[in-house]
Amino acid sequence: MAFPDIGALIKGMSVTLREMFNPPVTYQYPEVRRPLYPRFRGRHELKRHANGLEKCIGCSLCAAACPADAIYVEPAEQTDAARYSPGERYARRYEINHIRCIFCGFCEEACPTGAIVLEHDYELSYYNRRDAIITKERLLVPPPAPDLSTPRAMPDPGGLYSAIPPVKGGVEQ
Amino acid sequence: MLSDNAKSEIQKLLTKYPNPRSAVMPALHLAQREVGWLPDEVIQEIADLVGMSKTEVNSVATFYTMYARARPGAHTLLFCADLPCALRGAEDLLARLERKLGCRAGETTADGKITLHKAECLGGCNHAPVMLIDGVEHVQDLTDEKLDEIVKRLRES
Amino acid sequence: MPQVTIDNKSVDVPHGTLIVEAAKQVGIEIPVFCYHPKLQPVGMCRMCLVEVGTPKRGKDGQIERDANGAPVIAWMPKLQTACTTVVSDGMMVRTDTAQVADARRAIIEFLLTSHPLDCPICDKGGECPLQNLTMAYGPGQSRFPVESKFHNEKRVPLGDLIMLDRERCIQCARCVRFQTEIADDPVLGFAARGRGLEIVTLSDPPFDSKFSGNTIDTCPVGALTSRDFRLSARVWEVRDYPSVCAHCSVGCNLWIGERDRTIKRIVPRENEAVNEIWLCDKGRFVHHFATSSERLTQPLIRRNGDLQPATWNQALDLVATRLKEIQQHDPNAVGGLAGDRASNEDLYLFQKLFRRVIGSNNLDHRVGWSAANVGADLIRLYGAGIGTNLGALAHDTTALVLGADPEEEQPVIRLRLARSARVFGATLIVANGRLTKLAKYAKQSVVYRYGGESAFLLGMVRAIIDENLENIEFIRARVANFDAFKTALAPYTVERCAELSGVNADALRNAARAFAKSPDALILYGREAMFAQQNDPAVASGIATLLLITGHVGRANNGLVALYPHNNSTGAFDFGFLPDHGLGRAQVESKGLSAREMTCGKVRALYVMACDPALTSDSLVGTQQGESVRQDGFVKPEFLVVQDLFLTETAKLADVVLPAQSFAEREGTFTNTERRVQLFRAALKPVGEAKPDWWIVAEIGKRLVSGSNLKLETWDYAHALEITEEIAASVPLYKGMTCAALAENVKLPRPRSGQGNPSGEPAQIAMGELENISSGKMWASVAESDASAKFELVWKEPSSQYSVVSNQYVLAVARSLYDGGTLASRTKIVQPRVPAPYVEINSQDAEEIGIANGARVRVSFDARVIQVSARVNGHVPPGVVLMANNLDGTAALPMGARVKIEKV
Repeated sequence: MAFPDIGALIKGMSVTLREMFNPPVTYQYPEVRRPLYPRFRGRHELKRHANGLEKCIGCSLCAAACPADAIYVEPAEQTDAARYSPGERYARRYEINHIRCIFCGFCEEACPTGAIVLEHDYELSYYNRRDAIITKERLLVPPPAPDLSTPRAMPDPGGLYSAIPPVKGGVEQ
Repeated sequence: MLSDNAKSEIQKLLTKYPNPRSAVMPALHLAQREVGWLPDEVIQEIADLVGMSKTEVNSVATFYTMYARARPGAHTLLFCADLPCALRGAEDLLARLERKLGCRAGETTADGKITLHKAECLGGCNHAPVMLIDGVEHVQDLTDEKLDEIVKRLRES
Repeated sequence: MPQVTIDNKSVDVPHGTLIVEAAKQVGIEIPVFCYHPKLQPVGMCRMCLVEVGTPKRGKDGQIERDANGAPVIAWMPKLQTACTTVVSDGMMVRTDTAQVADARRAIIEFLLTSHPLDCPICDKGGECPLQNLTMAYGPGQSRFPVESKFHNEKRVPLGDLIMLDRERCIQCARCVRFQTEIADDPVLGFAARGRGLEIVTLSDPPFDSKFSGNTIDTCPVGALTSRDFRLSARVWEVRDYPSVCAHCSVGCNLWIGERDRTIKRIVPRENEAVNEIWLCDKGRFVHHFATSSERLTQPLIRRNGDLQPATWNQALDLVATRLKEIQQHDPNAVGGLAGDRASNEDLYLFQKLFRRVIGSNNLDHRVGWSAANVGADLIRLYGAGIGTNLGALAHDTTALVLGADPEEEQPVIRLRLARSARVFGATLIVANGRLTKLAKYAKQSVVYRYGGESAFLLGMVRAIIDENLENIEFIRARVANFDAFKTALAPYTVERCAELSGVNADALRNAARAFAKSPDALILYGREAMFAQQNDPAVASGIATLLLITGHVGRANNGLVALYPHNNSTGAFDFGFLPDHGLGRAQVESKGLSAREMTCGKVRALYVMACDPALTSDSLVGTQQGESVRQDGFVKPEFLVVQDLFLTETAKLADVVLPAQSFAEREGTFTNTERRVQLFRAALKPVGEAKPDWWIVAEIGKRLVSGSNLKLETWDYAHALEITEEIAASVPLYKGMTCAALAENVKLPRPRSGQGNPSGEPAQIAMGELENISSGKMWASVAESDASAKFELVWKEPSSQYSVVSNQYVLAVARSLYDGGTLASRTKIVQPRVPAPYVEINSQDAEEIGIANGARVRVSFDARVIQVSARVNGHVPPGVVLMANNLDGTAALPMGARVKIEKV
């Protein structure tokens, strides 16, 4: 045919014209950010108790649960002179390889103390692969007060700070 | 620590049993009568005599409550904590007694005079609450005043 | 055999079988905590409760039957413990009823009321019977609030090696019973009772046992944990590799637990013939040397007087060039020393290099252990029969243990022999110049005078002949020269032998009777008897005669076991690391130089593999204390190559140092003291550039044969197990010891195709390609393999060595299990167990000298003076003092020297 199908063209352009007057769906990231749902699974954080002790006790259950084998935990024994967490064990090294991580949240579910939580940071980009392995220093949230950092000399708090939370179904203490 | 006399007594005991280990309990009694209690050295000596390890003799000596592994005070009080006495206010009286002595049941006062133990039935339920002093003196129908009097008497003796 | 029906499955079991064991046979699991198959049942935990019924019997004693003719069962009103109830004929057991399930649930709930829920931080978590049984039988939820849990101390050190968590203890007494029944070091016990019950040790040092680590394995909860492994990994993260212990000659099977390229822990691997399920603390804890930062990681070459790093090619080329130079001049100017810790593959190639390429018989392994050569022929001829199980010798077996101290040198053999005697009723005759721990279990303990070993043996022989107890049929059929021997023995009456050996004549006769009359009999001889053999040839002939005239050879539980010092001492004999023996213990025509000769400057080039002659050379006797040991003893040859894990004293003198791999990094086989060949495999990646010993030797071999008319391919191996196959094919003693015979499911990386190894790098065998390592394979002695072999009795005149001189004492030399040596010193945790140098002295002598237990004394002999503390006891007879030769400053003590003891 010598002429194009005008009907089809009009039909297509009408969609374009109509959409021109609709409000835009595009977010002007990074100036504008989408609100996140509370249970959004972003970058991990290692939480602390109110007294500054690390919740992580180095039990490696997150590593065992991880389907991507992205977590590496090296536990060690701690003393009252240099206490990191309640109990006898703490995580000397804790690393998550974010290139491997699939953000499934199994680690969070496996954690008996609620130490590892997938938070809302999703801006994960790295200049090299090594930086994608997040070490414990980067995962750990800052202590509630400067003098509540770890390690510090402190007797084992025991009780509520034991490995298993006493309140059924609750991870916060 | 044991006298030669006691040692030869224990040697004699050994022959009474087909297995010398069986003599460990009478030997411990004998030693406790002589020394007053069973310090580590005595446990070791008895272990050597009856051919057991120190740890094994310790197991026997700690299992039975009438062997003393800690140095007792000059006087020992056995305070009945069984049901009939408890019904007659023994729990409260025991707490008072502990306060008076300044030590808990199972411990000895700071001056080393009195050791307090909780005991099972002392066979005087009709006069509950009951306490036994130094294994011989049976004090019945205990009251706070009686306790005061006893503590004072024992402290001064 | 009683028939028992468990959950409607019937099984016939032997008399005395417990229900829990009978249930295993029909595939029914009865949960247990306190019951352990190796321990006596106690019925403490009540987890194994089951319903038990027996057939009802009428007044006439007949079994009552119901209408269908089935026996009427009288069910016991209460549940019974399956671990203490012995089955009887017709017994019915029900394990699947609601009542049983209820009981199990209740027991678990009860145990958990005082058990902390700290599984996430517990070392047992993941391999914990309490966890597993709670999952299988527990209530899921407790009726008791978690706050009401009973709390107790969580960190109670039981000695240097074990940590106790009182909260986790469920009071099953497995540890206490292990220490009492198996190890027989009753140093653990309960204290108090009820809820206050706790495990305590009152020994000094605490938990003073060489087997304490086994309580970690037997503990069904995480109450006892290893202070070495403690909280350093979770058990499921640890990969277990089957291996064989690299310390003493027992050859205990073990699992190396590896994570992150380090050994996290070592646990026993079950092998009923060798170590059952036990391991001594040295085997369990002394592994840190493998990953020590002091390991050699690259070859070193001496340049301008200093050892400097070099590449493998440089180092190997230099070694090959220099060896070739010297060898072309005179092959006998090249000597080789190999330690008896190297694997069979290393030893085989090493001797192949010397015998086939260099053309020298200068091979030896007896470094610092001068007497260990004795018995090469004895063991080849009369070695204990295949199937001998030292842990299950029964009442029809007599074992004569001669001059040995297995408690310190082969701990697991001590444990197993003691158990054979105590539990199975085997007759032990323990003869030595002093009292050892094993003597406690002996039906007859004999203390002879050191030097009187041959008189003791001949006395036994004479007593047997006097009482006509010899095995006439056997002698007629297989023994020559018996009459001539009898004639020669004539002047040696039992009384005379008794006098010469310092043993009571009746004791000799009793020992002789027990040995000769026993249907099965073994002789085990240890280091002290080996020293005696070195000085007195009549000891070896006495041992042989005793076995031959009683016919106790060539069958299981009969014959001879030599208790050697190291994990592959037997292998060193088998591959001819003796100047007068060749491959397969054959006699050689031209005798080579001994270790002693090689280290005092009789060779121009010395190749040292896995041993440290500069530190332990026996030519050191006479060295003054305080002066450098090696300058006097070890003479550095013109060219010295050392191949080792560490920069040893010898390596410090070497021209070339080659870094070798530890047993944890490579595969191979070790031959244990019973001649059992056992396969072990690699667990770790190599440290640095370290290479396996066999690869280094092969590379040198390749360089030496290139250009000659020898075949190059014979030096091309891709991995160690190719050599294992070659040994199996070419060494008669090791015939059939192929990888397939030593392990199931062998899938070697590359079949040997004759193309050699193109990459030139040694390959490690990957996980999964070599599984289910078998329990090992013993090679047969001549008496066993050749039923028509004839043996000749040899008469040797006994010579008494050590006469008593006033004010002097005969020095007996022992070894301590823990020492400060190359391997043990890298494990910090066992250091407190290393004893300070000591001299044991009889209380009678001590009184004469005027010293008390613990006093400092000066021991002097030849030109050497050593200050040590005295242990006054009754273990050594008067006139004898005992010292361990592997402690600080006590190296190279001469056995049998006369020493003076003075108070400091």
